[in-house]
Amino acid sequence: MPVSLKSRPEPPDRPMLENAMPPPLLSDRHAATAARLPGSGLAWLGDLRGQALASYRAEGLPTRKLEAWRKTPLDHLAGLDLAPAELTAPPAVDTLPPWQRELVQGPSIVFVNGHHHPGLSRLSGLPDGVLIDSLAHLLEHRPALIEAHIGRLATPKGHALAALNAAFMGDGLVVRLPAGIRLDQPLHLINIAAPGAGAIAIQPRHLVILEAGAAMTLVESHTGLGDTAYFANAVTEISLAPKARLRHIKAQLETPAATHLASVTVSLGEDALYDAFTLNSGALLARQETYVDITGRQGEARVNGVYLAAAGQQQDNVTRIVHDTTDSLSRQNFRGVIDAGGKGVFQGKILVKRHAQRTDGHQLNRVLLLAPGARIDAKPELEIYADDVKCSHGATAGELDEDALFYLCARGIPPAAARRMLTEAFAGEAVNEIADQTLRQSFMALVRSWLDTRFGAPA
Amino acid sequence: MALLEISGLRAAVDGKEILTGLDLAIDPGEVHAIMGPNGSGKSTLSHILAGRDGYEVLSGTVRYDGADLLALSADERARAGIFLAFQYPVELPGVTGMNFLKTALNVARTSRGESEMDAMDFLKFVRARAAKLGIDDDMLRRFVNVGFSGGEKKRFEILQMAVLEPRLAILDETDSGLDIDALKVVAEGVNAMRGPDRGLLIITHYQRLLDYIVPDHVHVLANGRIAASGGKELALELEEKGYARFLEVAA
Ligand SMILES: Nc1ncnc2c1ncn2[C@@H]1O[C@H](COP(=O)(O)OP(=O)(O)O)[C@@H](O)[C@H]1O
Ligand SMILES: [Mg+2]
Repeated sequence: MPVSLKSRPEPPDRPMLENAMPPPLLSDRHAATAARLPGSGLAWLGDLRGQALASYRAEGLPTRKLEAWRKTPLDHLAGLDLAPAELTAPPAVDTLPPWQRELVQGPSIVFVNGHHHPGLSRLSGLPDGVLIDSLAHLLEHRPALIEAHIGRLATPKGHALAALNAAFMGDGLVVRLPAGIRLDQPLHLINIAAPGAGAIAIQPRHLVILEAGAAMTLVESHTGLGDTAYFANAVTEISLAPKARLRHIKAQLETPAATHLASVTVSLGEDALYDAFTLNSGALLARQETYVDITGRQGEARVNGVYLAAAGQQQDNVTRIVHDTTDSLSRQNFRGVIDAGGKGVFQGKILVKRHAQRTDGHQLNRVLLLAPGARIDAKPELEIYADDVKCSHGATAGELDEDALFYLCARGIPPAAARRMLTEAFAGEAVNEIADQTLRQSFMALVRSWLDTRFGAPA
Repeated sequence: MALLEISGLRAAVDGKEILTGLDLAIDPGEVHAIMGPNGSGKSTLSHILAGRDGYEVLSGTVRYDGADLLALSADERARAGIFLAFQYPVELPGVTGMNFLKTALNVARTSRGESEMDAMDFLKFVRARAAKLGIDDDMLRRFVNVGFSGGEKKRFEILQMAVLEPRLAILDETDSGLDIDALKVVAEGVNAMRGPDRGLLIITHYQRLLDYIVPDHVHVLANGRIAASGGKELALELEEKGYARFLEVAA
């Protein structure tokens, strides 16, 4: 007998449990935190945080039921007794880890547990009119500037993590370059998590505004101290006016106890350039989300990265490049190296709107699986509504080429060193996307130190 | 003592016997040529000597400098002084020629208990050898064999040989795909390597290369074994009459 939808049996009656679902992670800590957050006296900010909290409460932390999170479990966070970093006194950190100190020459701004650390920061000698400051400080002294920009690009709706960040945001980097100003040296945004005895949640909020024709390089580095768990949930909003150029280079080397989630939302004006490279090699779970809206003609987005996953680690990359105008260009070049027990996820999207004629978009994700038991889930997507476009994507996953290995061995190079050499070369082809030679070398050195732990010293 | 002594070598690939009882001895200072039709097992022999996986030695021995060569891994053989110039050199995307040569040379030096060559000395050392082969710095900065023409690949193989200075060099169809000018450059590079302590095994399909690299001994490989051996005049005879008579004899 056919069963119609109507005749489907009703679920058995059960009493509705008012609080069956526990409140989402951290939301019950908000009340105690809110009054202590920078700018807590500002009505607009109170509203923004309040709305974000409501939105986060309604949606909760992303679960694997969501398409974008199908391969990325956050369940482990629920098991941590996370306290907002704003509530814990930052432990004394009075020196920088050497690799961060040496990564780049130039001005630097340091955040420890998400709080600006003026003592370690070096911001002298910047050109007139350049604003580089902490969000906390500006919320006290120039709130109107922040009000005009914050939350414009990274909207909480439909993005629970951005909402969570907005509910707790208190500090982060704010950069504004006036029209035509170019910074000769990269600015180094240094992030250190020092959780001390108890697990903490850090919600950095960064804002980068380049006015017309301004140009700079922003280098971000992330690390942690100790082995206590921490959860970093960073949100960055970047607004690039016509002809502005931002190179945004990031090294994520968090501790194995870290969960590192970061989203970057970029609005790209006419003839502007956003050129990003991210190295993800740290953390238990890291996820880099990059959203670029190209709204200005001839805007150019380059989003590249290397991800290295050892046993137990998961490295995610999510990109979404929206071509929302004519004659724009995007390039993505990602390379993953995954070891036994490691996992990578790549979800890359190019969306070309109907009017975005002559779009030139290309995406490539190549993965090297070092051993059986390495996993990659790749979902490249092209969504194209315009008819005059040049778009492509490619995704590969495989092991080292046996012929290449034999070639190296036939020149006397021992097998382990040969594997290492080919792996380095593989990752290097994405590191080569970094335009600046000095930075390219610094990042290659970071890749090499990861290879040292995996393969031993080079030949 | 022979530098290389192959006795009764039988070897199979995927269960198919390719070498069917091959004997060959090369003394230091000698240049041997192996000629044979396509599919006769020339590359199989070169791969087995170099230590490539996937070949099953059914019986026979290979002694190098008196020791059991087949007991060594590919990289150990190379460090012991065996060099194979590949018939089909492999692309190494992301590995520059300079880096490749430097790594290989320093591995060889450290295994001999010598110190690594410093960067400036190495540059001079390589440039001097590269120049003779018409290889400029630009080519050395490119990724190994990626986008190289056939001639560039073969010249780069010879450069590797010149840098590594092996005791036994096996050249697998280094002449194939070369025009006459490139052939002369390659042959000069090979002749420069001739010396009292070094053995050379030139594998070729055509006699042409042997006009420029004159061998001491010529062998015909047919049906997986040496079907005939002679002096350099054997190569000319093969050029004239082809391999048919050796194949018939064996059949
Ligand atoms: N990997 C392989 N699997 C199966 N057969 C092979 C393989 N490599 C070579 N052969 C076979 O072995 C024989 C000899 O090949 P090869 O040594 O390359 O000859 P040559 O170099 O003299 O042209 C050929 O019949 C070839 O088809
Ligand atoms: Mg062959």
